[in-house]
Amino acid sequence: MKADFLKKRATAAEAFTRFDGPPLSLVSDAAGGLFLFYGDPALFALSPVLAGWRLSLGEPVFFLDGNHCFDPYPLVNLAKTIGQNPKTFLDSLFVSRAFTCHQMGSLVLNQLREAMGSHHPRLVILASPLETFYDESVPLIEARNLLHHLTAALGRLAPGHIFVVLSPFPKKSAGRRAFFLSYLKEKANRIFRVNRKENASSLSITEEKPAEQQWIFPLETG
Amino acid sequence: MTRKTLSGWIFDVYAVAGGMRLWLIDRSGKKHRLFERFSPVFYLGGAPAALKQACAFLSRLSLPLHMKPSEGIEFYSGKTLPVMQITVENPLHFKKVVRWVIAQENQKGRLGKTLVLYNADLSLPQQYFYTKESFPLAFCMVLLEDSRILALSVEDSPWATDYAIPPLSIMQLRMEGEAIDPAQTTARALEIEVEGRRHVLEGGHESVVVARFDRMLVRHDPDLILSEWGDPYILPKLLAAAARLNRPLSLNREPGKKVLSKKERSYFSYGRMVHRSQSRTLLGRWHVDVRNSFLVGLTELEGLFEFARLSKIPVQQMARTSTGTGITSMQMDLAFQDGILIPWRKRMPEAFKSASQLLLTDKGGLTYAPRPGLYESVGELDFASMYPAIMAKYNISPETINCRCCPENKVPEIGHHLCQKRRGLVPRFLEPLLEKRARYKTLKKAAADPALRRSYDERQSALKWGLVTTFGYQGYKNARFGKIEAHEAITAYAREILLQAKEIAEAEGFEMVHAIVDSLWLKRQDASETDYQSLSERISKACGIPIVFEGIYAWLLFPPSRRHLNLGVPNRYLGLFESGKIKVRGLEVRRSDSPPFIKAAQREMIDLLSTAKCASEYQKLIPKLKLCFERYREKLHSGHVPFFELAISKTLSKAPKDYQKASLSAIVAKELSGRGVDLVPGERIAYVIVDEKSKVPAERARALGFIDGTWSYDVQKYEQLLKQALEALYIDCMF
Ligand SMILES: [Zn+2]
Repeated sequence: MKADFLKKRATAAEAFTRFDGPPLSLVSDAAGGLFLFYGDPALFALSPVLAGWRLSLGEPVFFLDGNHCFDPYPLVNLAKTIGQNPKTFLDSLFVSRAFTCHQMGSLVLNQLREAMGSHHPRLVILASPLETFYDESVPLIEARNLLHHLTAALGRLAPGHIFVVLSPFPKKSAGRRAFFLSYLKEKANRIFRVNRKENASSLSITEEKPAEQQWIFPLETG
Repeated sequence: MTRKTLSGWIFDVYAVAGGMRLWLIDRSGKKHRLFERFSPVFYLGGAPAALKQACAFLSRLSLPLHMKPSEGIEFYSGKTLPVMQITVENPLHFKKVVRWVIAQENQKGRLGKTLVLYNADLSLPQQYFYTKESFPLAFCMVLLEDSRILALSVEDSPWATDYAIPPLSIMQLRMEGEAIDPAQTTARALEIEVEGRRHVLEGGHESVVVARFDRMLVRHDPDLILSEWGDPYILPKLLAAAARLNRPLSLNREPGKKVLSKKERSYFSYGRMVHRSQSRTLLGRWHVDVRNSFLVGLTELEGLFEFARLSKIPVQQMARTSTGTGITSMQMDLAFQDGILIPWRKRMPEAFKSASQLLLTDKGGLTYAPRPGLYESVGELDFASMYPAIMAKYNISPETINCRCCPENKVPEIGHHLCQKRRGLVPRFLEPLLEKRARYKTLKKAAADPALRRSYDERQSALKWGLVTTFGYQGYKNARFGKIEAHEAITAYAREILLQAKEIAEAEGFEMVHAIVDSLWLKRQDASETDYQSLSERISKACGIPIVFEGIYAWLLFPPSRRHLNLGVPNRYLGLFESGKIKVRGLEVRRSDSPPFIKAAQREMIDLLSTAKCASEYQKLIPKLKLCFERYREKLHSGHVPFFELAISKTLSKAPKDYQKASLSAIVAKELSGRGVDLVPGERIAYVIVDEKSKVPAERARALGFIDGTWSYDVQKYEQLLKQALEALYIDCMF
């Protein structure tokens, strides 16, 4: 039993030698907190690695999808590459999609705590949570207040869990709402800005808070 | 004070101080301006402490409000809840009060957690109609004291199919010349058609145009102003000119009130760019812009009236909203009548599901791509309104999916379950609607009068589109009474039913040629209409969802994909039914961005082909097809095809300045901005390709509205488009 467990740990560690850099190295030592990655839309490439990290240890992972951007295929590929069963990965990653900011709000404010209580994920990924807040059919003040409560709730939930927020730069269509990103920044324990040069095969990740540091994350090519 | 009774149709309803203004048109066409007392209501529910604080806040507002404890049914659980009923005496205060409560509670962080609002985002006319169980265009009888309504009885039903429409006087407004967005071209004269006569208000000073227009308004006093681009252009221009001249226009029938205007909006919603044109709506008179109305564009006025009656949304608003909003209003009305509290905003998120479950449930409808080629003796079978029919049959509704009481009643394949104890709101709403549509279809078949047949057809097709857009692939997830799990259950049943239909057909010796979500194309050499009829009866019976036999095709063409010649494209075909009716899907003639010239060429080729009674006759026509192509090619080369015929129209996905690459749309959008045309994402532009390969981007394509004789079109490019239109009907390798 013990041997099995050790073996599993070993394969997982081995598997992630490829990923000894960011984003894992940036969040893996933390006991908990809110980690914000924002910038180039290519930053979603970070999510399978992050999810795979906990999934390979047999833990469930939560994925809160604010822009219908969940894509299972990179995760399946990752599982195959590191010699894990893709089915186990897919069975332990839990997704909830929100199409309106009221849904996103209700998800974080009302549903999340209970769901975390029954599945015990250590890692919670929020993908594009702001996207639904850019929808102008909801008045600005209403969206802003809701977002304020949402980020406050994230701040309360984060200690003891790793919350990773992936937030692409606001599109031009976000208009006056582009400042919503600052609400996330305010609550984040660490902030990383993700850049990608046109057609570059890697992302550069710069820490903005608390320290100024920079890393490179290679993208899958082909 | 005099009392009298009056009967007529409800023409317009809007809020005024203390109640609603109601315009009635009687049988002689006379208009009556009436008033009825009405005080709208909303509800607050939640934790007692939060309720108490909210009520304290409300009583501090110095507005006439009444609060009293009441109860209502919670939508998802079906349980009766204690709530506080807030009656706002003056309807003009309603929106303001709701907004204040929301702001106050949002600030305190209570909204949606300890305090919940119900019935708070219904428009006033909707709430009035729901409360009075009346509807736009209803025929009714009123008891009046002067112009005050003491009692109103509706002598009409929204479910009636043989209703009459009040006699309406109509004025049509457009800008002279070709149908080009007037904001994207040079100045033109205003054209007015009224009482069978056309007037052109030629140039001159704007004061002359404004004065003449106003005189015509007063003289003809139209009930309906039907315009082309009246919302974004004609009315704003006229109103601005009138304001400059300090000369009020008699557009409203309500004295002393301004024309209602809504600004244009362009926003990202549910992953796509949406553009809402600005609008100008009137009081006591209707303004409908045919270019700014999905329903009118699709079905003319019949579909609009049908939707307004059923949805209880006033005609001018219904014209400008989506059929989905209309359908939602019908559901809210049913909920309202049942004492269900209508939740404020859509907020119920998706329950967490594992990625494997998600892959299983998110599959959508089934598609079997056709093998390209020309087929004979293929029959088409369509499930009528499949998704709604499934919801009605299996009781699929947001409050019945994954209920607490019936875990054993499983949805195939995906593991959700459905309630067997409580009939859902959506199925209850759908039953009469599906039945009404079926009735229109029967009436249409039986009607001898072509005008009547057309009006039944327009009404049924408006209902069909309403159902498709609301319960189709995308709509359902976003609807107020939509829930993603319910949508997944529908598609799971739809896949099962389509497979079941396929198996039944194959067991009877039919081969499946193509299938897409709710339609099947089957082939059996000797099959007669009777065989297909009895097959569809057996499928309908086995699946419990009616499938309709559309007909047998004399020939049916599935063109190959442009990239892969041995692959067909789902829902792209051309066929001739044995009845002589042509059916086209996905080809250039059906595409909204194809230039009229290319459409006309393909239309002519298709007309030619429609004389072919079988595949071999089709093949014999190919030389004629090529001749037709040659004729159009020559026309192109002559250089005399008008630019209007060559216009390609596209929707802008970005603001002109945000385009990075020099696509043709980007080039033309920039040209138009340079000319002072304000463009926002989601708007449509039209252009002509002048030299696609030019090194100078601005010389590749030009805006249709400003192109002049110093330019000439790109013959090679249009020839290529023409060739594609031909090749969709005939490819060497296929014959
Ligand atoms: Zn049940």
